[in-house]
Amino acid sequence: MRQPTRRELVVAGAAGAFTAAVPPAYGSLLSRRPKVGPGRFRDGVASGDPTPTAVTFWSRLRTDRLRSGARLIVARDEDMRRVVATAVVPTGRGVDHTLKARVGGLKPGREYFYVWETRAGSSPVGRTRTRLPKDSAEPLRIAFSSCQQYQAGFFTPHTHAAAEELDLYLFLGDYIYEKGRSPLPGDVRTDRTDAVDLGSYRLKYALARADAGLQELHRLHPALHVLDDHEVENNYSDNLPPPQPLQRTAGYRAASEWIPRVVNKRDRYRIYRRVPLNANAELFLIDTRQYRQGSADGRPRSMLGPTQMAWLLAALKSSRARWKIIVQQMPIAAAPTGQGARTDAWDGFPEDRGLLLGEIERNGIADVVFLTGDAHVFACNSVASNFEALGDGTARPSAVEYVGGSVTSPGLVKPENDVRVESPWVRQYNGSFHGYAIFTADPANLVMEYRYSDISNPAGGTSLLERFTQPSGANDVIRQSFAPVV
Amino acid sequence: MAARFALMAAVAALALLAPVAAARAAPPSNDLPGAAAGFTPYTAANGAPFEQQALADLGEATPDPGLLRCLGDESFQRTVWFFVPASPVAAEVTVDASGRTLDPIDLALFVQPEVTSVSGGVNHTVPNACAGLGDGGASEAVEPGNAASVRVPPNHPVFVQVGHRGAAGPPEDERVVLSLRVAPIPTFTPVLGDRAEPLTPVARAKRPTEVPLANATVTGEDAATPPCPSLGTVWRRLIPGNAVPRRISVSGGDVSTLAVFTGDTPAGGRALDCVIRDARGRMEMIVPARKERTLWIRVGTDDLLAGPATLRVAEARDQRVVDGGPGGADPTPGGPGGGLPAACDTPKIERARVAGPRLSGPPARYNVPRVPIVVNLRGARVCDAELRLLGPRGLLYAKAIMPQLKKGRRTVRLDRRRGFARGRYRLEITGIDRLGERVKVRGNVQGRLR
Repeated sequence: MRQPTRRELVVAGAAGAFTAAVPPAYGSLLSRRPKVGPGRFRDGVASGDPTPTAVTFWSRLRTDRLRSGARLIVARDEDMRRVVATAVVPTGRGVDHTLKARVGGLKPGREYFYVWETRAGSSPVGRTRTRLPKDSAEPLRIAFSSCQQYQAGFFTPHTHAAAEELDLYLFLGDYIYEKGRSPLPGDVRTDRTDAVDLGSYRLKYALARADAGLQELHRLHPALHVLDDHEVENNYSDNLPPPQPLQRTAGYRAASEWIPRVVNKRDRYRIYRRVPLNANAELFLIDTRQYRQGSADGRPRSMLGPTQMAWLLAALKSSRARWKIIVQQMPIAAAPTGQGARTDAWDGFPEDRGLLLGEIERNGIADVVFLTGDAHVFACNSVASNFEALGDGTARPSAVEYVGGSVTSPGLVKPENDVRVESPWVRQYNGSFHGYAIFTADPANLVMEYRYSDISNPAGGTSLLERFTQPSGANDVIRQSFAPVV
Repeated sequence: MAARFALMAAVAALALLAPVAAARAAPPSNDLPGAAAGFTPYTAANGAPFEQQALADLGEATPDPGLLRCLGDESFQRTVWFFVPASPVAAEVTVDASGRTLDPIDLALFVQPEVTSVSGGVNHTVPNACAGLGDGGASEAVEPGNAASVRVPPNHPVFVQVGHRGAAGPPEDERVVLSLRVAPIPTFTPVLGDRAEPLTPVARAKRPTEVPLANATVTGEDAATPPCPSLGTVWRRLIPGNAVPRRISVSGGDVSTLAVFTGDTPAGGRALDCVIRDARGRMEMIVPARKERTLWIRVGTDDLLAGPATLRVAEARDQRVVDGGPGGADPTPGGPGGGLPAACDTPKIERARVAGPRLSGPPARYNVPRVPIVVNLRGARVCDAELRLLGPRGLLYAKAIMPQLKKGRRTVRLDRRRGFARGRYRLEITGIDRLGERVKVRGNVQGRLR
């Protein structure tokens, strides 16, 4: 018996389709109504993207079912008696059984509690907070971190950040590391998975979220995220030969499934946007990966791309907040580790850096602050459009950059003095420690603290490393060190 | 001979389709199922991907005239096709789709006949799995994700139809990135009743039928029920000897869906309703029956090594099922599964108040199979309503369940559970609140029978 060829199959299919189809009443068997379904909550809960009246809530069901759903309950009290909102949220294999709901109608500056339920059980009770009213001048307390390589340590810093009183937590990228590896000396746990497709990227997020410290941080504080390269591939950008479409898509899609952020409906990959917090501060989330140009495409070199750069400059100029906080991935200071230019960072795009900092100077935009990830070091840098002049003292700084350490990823260990000899605009440098940064912003000062943790032990302690007080209008910091400067 | 006939039929069909395709500017090469494109492996800097990729450009794609649109008339307005070659072993096939925007993407999988089968033929008429707006699952999420999955027996190719709705947008918005994951199932033994065909076992009416589910697959005749997807399904036939409605109930922890079709074959007939698993317990529906008219019962599972299900069929005069039975949920309003109406998505039972004329008269008046009670409900409707008439010694004398009890005055009929005697009686009504908990309606209907 001869097997039909694929061609015979497909062309016969076309014939059959045209001649034999009898459309049934499919409309009666469709449903846009979510139902609570099977599944248990093993990946924690999270909230994010708060506005004064809305928050995004997240959790995930562990189930083999293709389709399921869960009920979200939001209340004013931890006992979940004063319920203010409920929603049945659909999920399924298409979103890795993650659950996400945007709940509006909340009151500004309030604490809310939430829980997810199925018939099989309930999630832990989470806590979140709406943003303060736009015109409020109350001090803001925000923490941030980046770069949490799973093998390199326990996410102890998150355990301690979770215990802080915060308005918001910021993740500055490298939430996962796409590369797996055999254990190295010093690794405290193992991750051998290479993330290259949708299934493997999802595994990476599940692995990271298995850390108790990270679960606790997400449970207790609303978060905002920007993504960096390792969410897709090391030093990834579309400016270099980009990854294959599915790998790039899979990286971003898994991130949006697992992170409690709101995606742009017309462009799910877009990260850059402004987030007005209150009269004290406004955040400008930027994307230093997706819009690079000028390597081999004949276009002018740009880190942000012309559209994002124009947006950022206009947003900075129009902002009425005291502290204009640029939340980003790559160090903007020149030679930030004292080892010459880093071409993957802003150093590789001096024109864009000059344009951004020059516009800040020309327009007299005061109190611009950069919060930076990626570098795996605690550092504080003065920045200006002309770093040589800044270094020899003939130019004043136009902004301050805070590089908030890494949660676990190893940094370049180097004496601070050596770094400052090479890059005198570096005000502080520590590549040995890991932890998080936390700051308070009020009309008079921005006070930034760096905290370092024992990442070799999930129950390890956390200590204060540095405190910087930045008076409004100064574009400069007063430094207090709480550990020996090395 | 079969191949020759197929080619002739295809030529005729393509000739008819040609003017439709030509009316649009430069449709993509895989616009028609006859030109389905393949998925391709790709490389990554840091590892070897298991999945394969494909790109669907839907900007200039055309619809497929005459083909079923399993996600409603608005779905699959512009489509392209892809092909998954047969695997020599059974496999779980999953196709994921992502676009730049959150605009709906429609996905349908068509499982083809075994490539070695004598009868040949193809299936582009009966979609076997569908994902998109209307499925009630991940496609309805705030950030939708589309994935369609089936478990197929060895040597069954699969066609993939990808569609967009509405007018075409910019090219970058019309590009869909597809991922194909084929997970082989090396040890596979076909399960009895895996296919709906004349030899499908008959469900016994007089005693429970054990239905093995392990290794259940989806094949071409297995029409998709988008709100009730399963990776594999097993069939039983029921040929009623009379026109009394039948209560079909299935239990077993690994059962994920229950669907009933009517007609000579499921593919050529229609799905009466479907139910998904949402808790432990039986999943049920009460289906209309016609003498000698075959009912096709489909039990779905997502577990490859699922334990058996127990299927029960019984005559069910004047009975009701609400929302798929104790262990089920009916995603669609009404129908044999007793799906709750849309108004019950946000029940406001806390506002409901019940009253009614006092129960009175001799007990004999109530000793009828369907006990009439007049109730007056104010404030709000009661969803997933359960009415229990309690009498002397706190015993239950009559009971009724209904998807909803609407506001207003009406006579409800409760199924009598025991003989009425003299004494005090009261009607207790419960329903679900917005948290899905069963709560009591305030007020009551009570009285004394003398």
